[in-house]
Amino acid sequence: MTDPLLSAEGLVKHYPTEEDFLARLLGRRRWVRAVDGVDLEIYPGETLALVGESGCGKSTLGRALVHLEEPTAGTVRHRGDDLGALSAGELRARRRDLQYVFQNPSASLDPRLTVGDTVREALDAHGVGPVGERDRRVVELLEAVGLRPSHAGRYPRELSGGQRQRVGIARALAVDPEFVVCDEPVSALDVSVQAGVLNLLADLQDEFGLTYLVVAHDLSVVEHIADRVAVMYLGELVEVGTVEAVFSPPYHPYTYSLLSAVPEPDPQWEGDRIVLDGAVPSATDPPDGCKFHTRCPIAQDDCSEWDTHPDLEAVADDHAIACPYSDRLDADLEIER
Amino acid sequence: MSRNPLDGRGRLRVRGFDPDDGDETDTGTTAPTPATDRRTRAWDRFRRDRAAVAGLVVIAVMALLAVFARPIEVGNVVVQPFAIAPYDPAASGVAPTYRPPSLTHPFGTDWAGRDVFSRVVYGGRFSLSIGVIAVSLALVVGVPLGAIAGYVGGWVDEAVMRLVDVLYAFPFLVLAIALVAVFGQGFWKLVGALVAVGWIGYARLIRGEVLSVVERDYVLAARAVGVRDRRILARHVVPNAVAPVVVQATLNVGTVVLSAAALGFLGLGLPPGTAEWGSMLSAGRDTLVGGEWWVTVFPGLAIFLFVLSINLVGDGVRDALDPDAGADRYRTREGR
Amino acid sequence: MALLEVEDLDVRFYTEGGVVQAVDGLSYTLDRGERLGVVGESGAGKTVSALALLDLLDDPGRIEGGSIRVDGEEVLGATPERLRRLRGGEIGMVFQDPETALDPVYTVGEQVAEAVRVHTDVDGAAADDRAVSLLDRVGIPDPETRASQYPHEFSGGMAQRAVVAIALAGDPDLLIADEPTTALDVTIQAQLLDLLDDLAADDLAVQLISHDLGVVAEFCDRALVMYAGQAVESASVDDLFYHPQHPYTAGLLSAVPRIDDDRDRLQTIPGTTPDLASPPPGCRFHPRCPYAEDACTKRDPPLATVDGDDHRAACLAHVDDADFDGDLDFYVEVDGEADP
Repeated sequence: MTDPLLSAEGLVKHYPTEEDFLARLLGRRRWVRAVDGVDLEIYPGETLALVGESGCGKSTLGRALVHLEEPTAGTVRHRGDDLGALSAGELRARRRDLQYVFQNPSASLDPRLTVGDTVREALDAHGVGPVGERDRRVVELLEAVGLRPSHAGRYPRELSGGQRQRVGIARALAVDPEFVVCDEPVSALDVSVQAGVLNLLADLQDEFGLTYLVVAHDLSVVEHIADRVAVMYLGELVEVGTVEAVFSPPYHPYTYSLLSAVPEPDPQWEGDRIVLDGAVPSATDPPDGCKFHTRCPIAQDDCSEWDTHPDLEAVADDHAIACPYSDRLDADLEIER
Repeated sequence: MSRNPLDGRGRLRVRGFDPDDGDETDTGTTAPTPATDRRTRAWDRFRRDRAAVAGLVVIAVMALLAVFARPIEVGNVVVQPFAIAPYDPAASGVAPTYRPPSLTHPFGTDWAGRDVFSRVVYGGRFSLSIGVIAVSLALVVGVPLGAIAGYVGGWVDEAVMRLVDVLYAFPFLVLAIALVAVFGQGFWKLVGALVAVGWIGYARLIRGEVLSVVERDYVLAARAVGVRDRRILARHVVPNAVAPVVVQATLNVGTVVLSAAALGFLGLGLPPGTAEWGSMLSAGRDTLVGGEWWVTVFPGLAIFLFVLSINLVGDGVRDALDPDAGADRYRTREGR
Repeated sequence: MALLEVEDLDVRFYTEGGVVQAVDGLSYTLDRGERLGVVGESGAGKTVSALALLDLLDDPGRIEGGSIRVDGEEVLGATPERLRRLRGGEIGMVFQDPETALDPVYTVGEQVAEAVRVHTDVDGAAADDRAVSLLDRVGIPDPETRASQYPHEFSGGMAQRAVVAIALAGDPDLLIADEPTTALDVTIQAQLLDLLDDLAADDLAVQLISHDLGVVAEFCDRALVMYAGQAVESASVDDLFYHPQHPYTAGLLSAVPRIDDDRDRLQTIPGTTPDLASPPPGCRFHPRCPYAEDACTKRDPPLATVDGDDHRAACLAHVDDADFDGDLDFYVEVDGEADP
């Protein structure tokens, strides 16, 4: 078993809520527990997908893994080095290895810079190659992501959504990274354009030997691009495994509901759907015990009494579920609470 | 029976739709128009605002008049030989006192027998230069301070903002008067006082903008790429935060001119007898009652015209820099 | 007589960059109690056409032609009084982002009650009661308490339900929902679609606008596919998903990622949506169509009947007297076998 490229241990990220001055003074401060103790390993050359719904903390986790956000607790190791122990300058230099593609391509490109300027900035920041060569390198990068050299002189607003996303990818590639976090890389794009970008990411991975963490909410997209999947709920991982393993039984009840909720583009499909009650609980005041128990279709009596959340337990070679009762889903779901 | 949410899924598959263009290039663009940069578009929008252009023209004319009013000598070299103003503004007794406007003296003469027209034209030098210089220097002080405070945060931000709060507590004019009273009269002392009072507004304004720009994805993206903070601030944050400050500064030129005039009116700022519009108003106070209206009306008109023009230009600049115009609105309609 | 009849609708936007033909010759009908899905990608004109229905377009957009009839009565050029009765009274509308659809300074109850007062004869306290019962109808638990809460205290899904309640206040015959679930999580989306299902069973006609083919497949009876401001295919959902007749529809169906479909690589439709200020000549889809021929660059295909009145597609392959030689040889395979 190879060593992980990136690993997180007990990763925690809490945000203070916007309390007023007086509340802070009186010590009554509430924290949004965006990431609440995550252990994760990412292996070289793979694509790990991080899925979950809004508020589960997946974007925060993605950012914390490359220290774009300072973790509140826990460690992230890149090739064994603790990122938290690096100085600001060392961390900046690490960015050459650890890159990030943003979700909203319209917002992540400075509207005042041309496409070429934006990509060039990445090269300049790390002194990649001799200065005279950099413009040529920019053109190479644009072509590598399926754009034309003439796009270098264009402004982001003159490009389509898919093209802007490709620019974001070119920028991330410019510094020749080994690990790229892709935060919802296609959510803002039309369906017919999504595949183009996803295929591009897959091709670049083969060509440059990249490792990806793809943060996504669309499970059908995930199934096509990921090797392994981690499902997140309220700041914790509830299921981790290969795509085949996670998408087939046994399931964590949340994964089950997620999968069953995906609409199928087939009018004659009669799905086995569990519609969860209510909304995701607040991340500032999560439920006791297993955080999912308030909406879980098979919640048992002791699910609320756990001291802490249930741990991820291996159910197969490369498949772990954080629910001791997941086998109950297998049986007829008439076992109502 | 195993319940499986994947049961029956993925049964359908479309066959036969094979685009010839197998490579994944995304070659289309949504806008066939050639690349026009922001500055050109902003200028085009400005040009369409007739009032703003009119204001700009008026200011340009006033500036030209001021420059060519009397010869300018640098060292012993005559740099500008023309003299639109027929008489030396400081020369008294070129004509009988208190003469109403006539062909030889279009704006009449004042109590010292000086040609008012020459004084008004020449006086433009003071007013325009005070306006532009004071505002520029205030920007040079206020923008970096405010931007750094907003970007760095922490105690730097607290310190700067508390200073701003304290200074803000004083009425603009009172503070200016106090400074002039302490440091005495003179052109540069006047400018200094106006700068000391003026930087505050810009610092606060740009700090607020910086706080919101800093949250934007492209700033985070620059950090993710590894660009240094210094460069992020200069290249991404300030240019995107500076628009409201530019508008405010343009409008402030008028305010500064008025303040200089007010200080001149109070007898502070420039030495008495200077051909500065405000001082002329001040010195001519008595004449309003006496009926020699031309001594105060013409300088007053000059101030009015300049401030009005500057305000029109400022409005035009704000509208030109407004990103919400035109085509962008259609695109946002269609969502995604 | 159909509840809603749209005929030859033409909408243009007069922008700095030129005149954009946002909707071009759109025609469709919607019957009482029917569920119509309007499918398309960005720039297709789905939202613009929906706003045109209630004359909600403002500058620089303008309706330049066509007819919109609700219950036989023409909407375009109607008096302000008639429009007021229409908006929210006969036709309720739900938009994509519930956060911005609700006014943050009023309680949710007040906003629903206001809609009730505007569109019915109910007033005062009775309107407040009706507001609570509407909130209950849309499945909001504890509606009494919720009615006195502010929008920011509602989660996304809950807020969207409140927006539906407001849309229902006037007891409309038709509900237009423009991407109602796009901003919501998939589990919340399932809840909202359940609600819409429930409401539609009550003889409420629904026009659901969505880019999500799965949502349309599950919820709608019929579907209209739009591309670049035009309708390119119209059929029952069964026919559309199993026997698509327009290359764009086939492209969309092949591009959508499906769970458990054993595909390695996803399909795309090359190129991008055209610039509507200067659309391609002839068929607007031809630059991206693998079946395009010379005739396609010259003639804009009408929405022609393919299979009875119910299935129509705007492709020259279905027009008899068109100079079109090839065959649309795509088809849908079901479970590994071609569907007859």
